[in-house]
Amino acid sequence: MSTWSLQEPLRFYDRSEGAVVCYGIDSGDTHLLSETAVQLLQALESGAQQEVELHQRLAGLATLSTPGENPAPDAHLDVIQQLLSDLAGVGLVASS
Amino acid sequence: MTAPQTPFTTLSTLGGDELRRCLSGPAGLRLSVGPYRYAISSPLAVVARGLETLYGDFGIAPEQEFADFHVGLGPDGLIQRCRGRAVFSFDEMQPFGSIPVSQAHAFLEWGMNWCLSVTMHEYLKLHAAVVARGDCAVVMPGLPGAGKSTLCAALALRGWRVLSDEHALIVPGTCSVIPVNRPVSLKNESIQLIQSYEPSAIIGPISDDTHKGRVAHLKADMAPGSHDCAPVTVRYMLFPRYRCRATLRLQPRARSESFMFAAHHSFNYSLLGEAGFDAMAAYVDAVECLDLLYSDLDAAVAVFEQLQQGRLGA
Repeated sequence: MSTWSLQEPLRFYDRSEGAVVCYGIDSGDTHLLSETAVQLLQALESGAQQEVELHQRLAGLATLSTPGENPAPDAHLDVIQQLLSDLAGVGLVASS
Repeated sequence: MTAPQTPFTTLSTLGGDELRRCLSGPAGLRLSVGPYRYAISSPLAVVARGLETLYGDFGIAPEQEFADFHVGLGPDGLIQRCRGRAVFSFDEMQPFGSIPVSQAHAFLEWGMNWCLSVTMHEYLKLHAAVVARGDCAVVMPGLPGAGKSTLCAALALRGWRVLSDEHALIVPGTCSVIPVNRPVSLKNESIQLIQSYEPSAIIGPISDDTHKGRVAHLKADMAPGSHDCAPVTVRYMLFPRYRCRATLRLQPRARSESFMFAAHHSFNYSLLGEAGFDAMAAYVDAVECLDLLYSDLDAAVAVFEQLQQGRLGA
């Protein structure tokens, strides 16, 4: 399974509104991200992690599931994989 | 940045002949705009007429005084002169192509905006109109066509002070804005709309068939203190959006989304790097962010008056 890491140091503008501004210090790029994406990025701030570790750390987040739904066991993993793919697409994370 | 001049002499004291002499001379006309000074040179009658109509109450300085921006508008050579064309110059550079002389005043206004857009990075510069009344300044970013200039013009005609139609110069680390009053740009239907809204409105030369269509400018320094240079505290960042026959609606806008919009429509947020992020964060934290959907100018102006009185918003 892939190991994921941040591509650059990040700063966040988070006022608990559901969306968070993320600033890449090296690239100067600014993104508007979901809280879940930001929690994923913050989980990587301490260093590179395997995808399974990220899954374990983030599985309990309420934002990963829709209220009232009973998700399949692997649904959270799918969400995290998609998020990682999206964040890699804008250059915030990379896998090795 | 130049220091304010004393005594304060206005362009209207020159008279037409002296104005044209200054514009045609080698030093140009020294025109004060907020804390800055332009040296303007042009042999074109339409430029002199536009300045006389719109800038009569602006301060001027002697020819030997320092100028931040040296700009000119005129034909560059015999061929352009014969073809009735002119070109904008800034510090002896010509950053744009030539235009018909009939569009010269609009192009001078755009050129003066451009000078400020590409320099003076001591401020976080947002692409926004800024108006104020009392101690309440409102910054209005907006996409082209959102109606910010038309609304800004209407507010100017109802006693609001225009700090800028184009640039919100935010002092980093604060929510203070530096006034740089200039005429308000009106395009296409907005020209007639504003003339009907206030028949006494003073509107400068009309430029047809520009890349933005029909363009004219409104004299926008009627409010007391229009040429004061002191920073003003911003209380609201309001995102106006005009939609024909829309019901007036004012609602809060998330700070994070406001941050992103303002950053994307800033002239120098990216250039400032991390300092730009810090400046934007400090600014957005200190203001109330609102969306305004409007169709009727009077109703929109009434919203601003209620905001100023603290009867709307959080």
